[in-house]
Amino acid sequence: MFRLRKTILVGLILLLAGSVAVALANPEQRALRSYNARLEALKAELKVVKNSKVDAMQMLDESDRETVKSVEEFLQTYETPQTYRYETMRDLAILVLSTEPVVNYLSMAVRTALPAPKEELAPPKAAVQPPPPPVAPPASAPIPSFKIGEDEGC
Amino acid sequence: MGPLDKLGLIPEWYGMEIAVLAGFFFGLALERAGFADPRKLVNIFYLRDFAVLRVMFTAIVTCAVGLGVLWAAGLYRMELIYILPTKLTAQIIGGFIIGVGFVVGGYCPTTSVVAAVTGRLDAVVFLLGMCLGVVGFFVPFRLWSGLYEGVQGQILVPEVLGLSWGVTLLLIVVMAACMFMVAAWVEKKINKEDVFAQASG
Repeated sequence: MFRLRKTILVGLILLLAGSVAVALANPEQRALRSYNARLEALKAELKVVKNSKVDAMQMLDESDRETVKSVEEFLQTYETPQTYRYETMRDLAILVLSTEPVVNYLSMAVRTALPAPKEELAPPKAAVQPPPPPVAPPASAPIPSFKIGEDEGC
Repeated sequence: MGPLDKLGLIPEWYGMEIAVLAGFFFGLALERAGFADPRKLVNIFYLRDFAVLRVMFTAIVTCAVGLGVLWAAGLYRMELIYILPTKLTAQIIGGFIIGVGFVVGGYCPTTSVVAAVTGRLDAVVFLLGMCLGVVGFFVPFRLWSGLYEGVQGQILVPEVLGLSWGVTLLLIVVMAACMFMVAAWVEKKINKEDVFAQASG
């Protein structure tokens, strides 16, 4: 007959309780839902940017423009994964976390830079029109805080 | 929300500092558990003392369940941690070689560092041998680079079994508990036989 020490028994119970809690919480499905929601939000923001008269893409540098284009292409063919696979989710996480700051910046720029209607812009009987004030982009440029490298590990 | 350094919540170099601190305490725990003594370490190969198995497996299970709980609580993102890609052939051959090195030299790489810090000369020799082994592996790498072709990506137990992560964790905890019971039974049996052999010898 095996004798269990009290500490070992407590540890075993904690480990069992922890794994049961993980099984009940089902974090995989939650992660799937969370990334889907964030991708939908990205889609909506990109739609706003596309439909706007302001060419906000010009505010971005070449690499950020490429990022946004690749996300647009990805979103056109994207199908919600049914199960949580580490590699798929990792790719999805990298895509979402690296794109969100750029798209949010674009969306904010579009919202703050919308030109007023023409009637309001034209001052009455002015001989020389002063140039319209330049539209200032949002103060902070997108700086993705997310960093990930492929050369890590032990 | 973690991993903290991946999400930019702490600087990347700070993660390295935490790793150094964690490494220090890991080494201290190994030394306190008696793992700087090669006799205790190799006893697992003679089925006399399964302390290595118990300590290492407990650490693995605790870490796995801990990460799972943090993930379930929304404090951690499992997909952002780095998992080594599976290279089955290379890992099987490497595992065999490290096992032979362990039983012959009396240490694994980590415990050899711990033992060297306590001043054991044999551990220092083992460490030097390990460094030579690294060079001996690296310099003619082209000879066995074929083993690393066709990397199979990250093959994970829940994905292979088609189970959820929680159920997999539960199975691993139950498996660990069963292994510990079997190890305790084997230890008792072998050590009893040793006592009889010594008494009759």
